[in-house]
Amino acid sequence: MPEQSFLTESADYTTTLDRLMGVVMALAAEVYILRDRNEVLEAILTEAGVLQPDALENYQLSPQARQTQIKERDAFVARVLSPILGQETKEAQS
Amino acid sequence: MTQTPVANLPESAVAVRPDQATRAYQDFLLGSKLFWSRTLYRQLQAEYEELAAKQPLPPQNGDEAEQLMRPEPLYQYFAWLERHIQRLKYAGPRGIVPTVDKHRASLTAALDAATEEGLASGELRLQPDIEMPRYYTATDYHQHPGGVWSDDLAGLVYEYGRKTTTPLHLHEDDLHFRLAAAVKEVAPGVEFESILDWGCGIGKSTYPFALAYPQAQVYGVDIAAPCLKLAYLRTHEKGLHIHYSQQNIEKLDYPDASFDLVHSTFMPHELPLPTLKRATAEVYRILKPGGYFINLDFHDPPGGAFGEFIYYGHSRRNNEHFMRSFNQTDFLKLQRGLGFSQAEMRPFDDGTGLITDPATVPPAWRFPWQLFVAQKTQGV
Repeated sequence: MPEQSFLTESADYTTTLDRLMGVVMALAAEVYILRDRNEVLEAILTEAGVLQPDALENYQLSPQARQTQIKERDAFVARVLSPILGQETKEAQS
Repeated sequence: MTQTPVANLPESAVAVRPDQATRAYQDFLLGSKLFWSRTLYRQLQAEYEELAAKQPLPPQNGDEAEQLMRPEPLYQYFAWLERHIQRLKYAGPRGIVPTVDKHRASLTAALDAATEEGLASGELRLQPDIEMPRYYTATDYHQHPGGVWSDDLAGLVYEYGRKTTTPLHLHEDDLHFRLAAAVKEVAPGVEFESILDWGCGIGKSTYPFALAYPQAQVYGVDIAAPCLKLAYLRTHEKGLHIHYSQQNIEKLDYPDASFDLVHSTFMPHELPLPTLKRATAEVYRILKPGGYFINLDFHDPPGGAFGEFIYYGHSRRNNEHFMRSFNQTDFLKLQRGLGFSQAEMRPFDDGTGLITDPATVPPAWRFPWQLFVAQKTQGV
């Protein structure tokens, strides 16, 4: 069976794209809220003397921790980009 | 792995220093590029083979393969990511260009000071009035905004970007040491007296030859002043001496029979065919009889129609406009026609342990590396 497709069904799918833009903006706003919260958290920790100024900026992972980070980065990217492969939908159809 | 003996120098005053968020952004792009080059690429190949097998006549070349794959969502995303990961790396909100812009004044001052030194020492020659050829200015090669020639700090941007052009390499300079080692195999025991890096850019491909042939006078020529300024600085920082000069390769100011070896890395595929012909004739003129012309470049992508489809798609999507015409050019015949003898194309291991095997689609996206070796006839 062919993969089911929805977002280009409409004769004028620009409306669909416009709404998708709305979703992207909503996500961007949520990311901004997270950033803001992180900044406040860093400020509070710095004021409390837990974090040294620039400690985050200058922090260097150990080579071992960097290897772990690379693995986690690759797994993160795979989770985010995997829908492109169309495998979930193929599994759902089978 | 070949050695990179000057890798542990103190950090230069002239360097791109990204902040934490930019490092994370660039790391995310690199991770995405790796996913693209392995997982997406393999899936695309599998889908292609499945689709091609269903055709009454399978695609015979890259264009027919492209036509077959164009409606496929996977290919559309593959193409989008190929173009835009590279664009974001340079020009994205946390790209290399905005990162360099943040420190523009101090970087420019430091580079200018080094340039003054280089000009005074004679190791750097610039031509501020040089005319840039139209093919060179018409597109931003590799999607580098403004190309590598129009902005004073473009060499620095290129240098940082180059770190992730071939992310599977253990050390970003390893490839260039491999070329120097390959040249030693081509001409075993020959002690060259004069060597030219043709299209030397920021000098990464030049200095391994200064180390491999310590008795030789080493030269680098390029048309982009921002790259040459950085090339001089990096060479100076390593305590080496190389003569860099800004020239159009179609007409060089070196006397006839000046060099024992002219080599290049990623160069012919950047040139339109008429330029390639004129510039190759110019190389012939400046070589001594028996001198070598050795180019490390890309040609003959393996894997038939699929390989060509991937390669020509890359050419289009990464603003490598002459990659295709170079691939369709018989460079060996061109060289022989100009008087070179023994022009041949040899396999080259780029450090991944793979060579470009015509019958095999590589397991991950890979440039079709080739080593072009030609010699100016003795006694000319």
